[in-house]
Amino acid sequence: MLMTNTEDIPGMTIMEFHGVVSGSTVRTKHIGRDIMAGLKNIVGGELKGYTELLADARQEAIDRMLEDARTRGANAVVNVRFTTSNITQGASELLAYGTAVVVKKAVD
Amino acid sequence: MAVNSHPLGPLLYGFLVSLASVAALLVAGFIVGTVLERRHFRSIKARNERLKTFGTSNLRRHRLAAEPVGAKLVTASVVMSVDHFRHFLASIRMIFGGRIQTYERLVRRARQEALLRIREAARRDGAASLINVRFETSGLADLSRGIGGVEVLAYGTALRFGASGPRPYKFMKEGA
Repeated sequence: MLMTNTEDIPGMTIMEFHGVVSGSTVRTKHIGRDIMAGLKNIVGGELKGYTELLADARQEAIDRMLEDARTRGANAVVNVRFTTSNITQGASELLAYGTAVVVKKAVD
Repeated sequence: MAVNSHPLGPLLYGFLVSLASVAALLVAGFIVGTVLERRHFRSIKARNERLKTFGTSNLRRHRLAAEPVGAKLVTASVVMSVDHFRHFLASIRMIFGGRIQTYERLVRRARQEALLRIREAARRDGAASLINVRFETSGLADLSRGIGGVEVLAYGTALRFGASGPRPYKFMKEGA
């Protein structure tokens, strides 16, 4: 399924609009409980374990958005945006949203 | 030995030894962290140099001569934290207010790394340009120790061109 964060997809024409679709995951923000993170915090720097964890959560949010688009009969999502917000102390929601469209190859 | 003659001697001695070793660990972490940070900034600069001709913008439309044949969303995120000692220094700074350069450097480092990662991912996917770059920053909390960390997400649209690709940009300033 095609995804871009621009308003249109180059080389394709938008035939139908199917509304706003979104997918989100709520994840915990605490980084202290993991032993590796605790050790890493002695020197600082990138916490690769958490980068991968949050990348997986983001992929889950994207997959939910694409599933939402698929059930509406769309084959692409344009103008994808991400936003993060604090749900409760210690948890934040990552939301991916965009416009579901049906595209087909542009004929010149 | 003088330590054993005092009733609380061994206890106090043990306490001082563990305090000194924790302090030494924190200072060592601070020094190693500083070295790693400088090395990371140097590597960011080198990787930006290598990507000098790879056009990147946060404009919504591309301004290139040719028409792209494909587009793809690319994302990358980085999670970074400071070491304990630096966090302690920053919390003292917070009492007085003003800029906290430690965290400024941390966020700048994470943001530049995330931007580099999407550019490299776009280039690996065969794209010639990256447009509509956006950033999302969120803080991480560790309530048990109060260590500050940050997650930066960068995303954009990578454009792939056909055989008659776009002319590469002549000048490319280093990313923000």
